Amino acid sequence: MDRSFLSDAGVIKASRDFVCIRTATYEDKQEAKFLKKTLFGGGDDLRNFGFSILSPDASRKLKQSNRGPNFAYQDAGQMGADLRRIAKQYSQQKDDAIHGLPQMKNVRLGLNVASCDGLPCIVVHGKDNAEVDRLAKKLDQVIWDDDLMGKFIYASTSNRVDLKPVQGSTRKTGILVIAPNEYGTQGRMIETIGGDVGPSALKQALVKLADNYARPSKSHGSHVRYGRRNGEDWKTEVPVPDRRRGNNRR
Amino acid sequence: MNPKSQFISFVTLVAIVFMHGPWIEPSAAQLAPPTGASFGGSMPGSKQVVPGIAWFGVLEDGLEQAKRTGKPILLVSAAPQCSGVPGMW
Repeated sequence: MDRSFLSDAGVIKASRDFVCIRTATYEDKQEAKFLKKTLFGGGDDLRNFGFSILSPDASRKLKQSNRGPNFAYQDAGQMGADLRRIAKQYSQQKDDAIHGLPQMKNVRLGLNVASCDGLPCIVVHGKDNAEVDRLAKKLDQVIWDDDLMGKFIYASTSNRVDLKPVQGSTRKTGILVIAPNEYGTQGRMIETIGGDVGPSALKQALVKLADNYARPSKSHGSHVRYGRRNGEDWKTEVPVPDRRRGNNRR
Repeated sequence: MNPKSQFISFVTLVAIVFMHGPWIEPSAAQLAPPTGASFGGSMPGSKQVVPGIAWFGVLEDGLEQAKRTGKPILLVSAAPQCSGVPGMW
């Protein structure tokens, strides 16, 4: 994972004029078809990492690298400048505000990605889809604020079984804030925010939770080494080519 | 050419070779993968949670937003596991 381009303040600022999509490679068969065609040159295999800038209707590739943005740009400054240049080409529509819950496909993936990012995970837990939608709309009112953008990873569920890996979770529905474990396979409840919360109180609560969250440090090498030793083995929906998983696993 | 001119030419040549030779820093595209401890994700150097890129994690959700708003798409695909071990990009 790139550590200098996508974390650059100029790139983050420029990203606000884009819809930013980060799909989890190997985790969805339908998405895999699109990624193979759009990011990986129409071949049979996916790669761990790919990057592209597309037109709003996704029909035109404006920039592409079948690895990270560091293979498309010399440095983060150049990437930020290119993002600003591209954004200018697209006249902003009247209603150009992004809405919706930028969530992962499921809770399992939400916890994993939150662990990868070192961020807390918010799970919208409703008794049914209607309650999930109602809670998601509440979040939508506040999470696109500059104070909260990019500070949480989101997922939703109406199935209590999905919360089994989360220590401290109950039947209570609401907006659950969860700290993922080192491998993102389990979590620990930090707080449950009730569904009757107002926008101002919700925003205040989330800002405070993000401010108080202690991000754990990880080393790539030791994480993988100890993970293998401890039997951590992530099952993907789409098979990972052998060359990507290493031939000397355990 | 007198000795002084010869010396200046030599120094200039050495400077040009040094500036454009193998000692020049590699471009970003040639940098090795990161090593060492990190706080992860899009804010690797920060102990605190700071603003970052707000990612749609489901392709379809993001594509719909782009169509609706007319904003271009910044698309990244990343595997949330390394050699089968989750919790690391």
